[in-house]
Amino acid sequence: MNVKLENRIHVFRAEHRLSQSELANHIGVSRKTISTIEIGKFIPSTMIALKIARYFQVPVEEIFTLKDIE
Amino acid sequence: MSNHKTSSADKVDTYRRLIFLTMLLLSLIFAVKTGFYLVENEVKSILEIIAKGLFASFVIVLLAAIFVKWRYILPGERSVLSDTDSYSYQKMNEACKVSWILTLLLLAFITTMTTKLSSAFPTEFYLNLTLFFMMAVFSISFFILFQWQNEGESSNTDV
Repeated sequence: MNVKLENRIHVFRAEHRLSQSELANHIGVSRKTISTIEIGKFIPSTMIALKIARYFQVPVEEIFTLKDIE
Repeated sequence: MSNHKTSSADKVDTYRRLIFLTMLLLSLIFAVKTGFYLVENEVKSILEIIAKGLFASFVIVLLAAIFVKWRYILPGERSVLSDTDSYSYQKMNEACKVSWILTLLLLAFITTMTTKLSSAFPTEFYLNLTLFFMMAVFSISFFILFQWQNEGESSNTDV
């Protein structure tokens, strides 16, 4: 069974009224890195995932989840 | 919020793009040098002019890359240059793999061909050809994988 990494960064950004650039600035990555993570094109390292979770002050599982693919 | 300050990671992405553009221009210089062995004497003078133009462009872009690094990436931010977590670093690695594999195949092809047939070209021709191919594939692969154009601003401010 294959799995896919899904994320809710877009939702958290909307809640905090943040643009991709602003989030990128806060966690020290490029806007391209954030945008490609959001659309599922780039799987982030553990370090980046934890930085994003720490910024939004939520457990990493609330932002990143594994979804089974049939 | 309207803070649009460019992050150090974005500056590193810009620096990497310039470095790969420099590499692409350098590859074209090697392509022209390779071409010297394939054309008539009358065309060589044109190739020399093209080579000079490419060299001038190469120097300009290289200086621009050095300027971006020293002017915009502050000493405290330079650790981002060796950051292996970023999207651009991952795409650079993928482009490197593509270039390495295809250059190896080219070298295998050249070795086979020059063993079977007596080569009409000097060693320098094959060296220039290989350098052109390796750097062109590396830089073009990077631009394709990374995408020169960023996504639209709508995705940036879509909150």
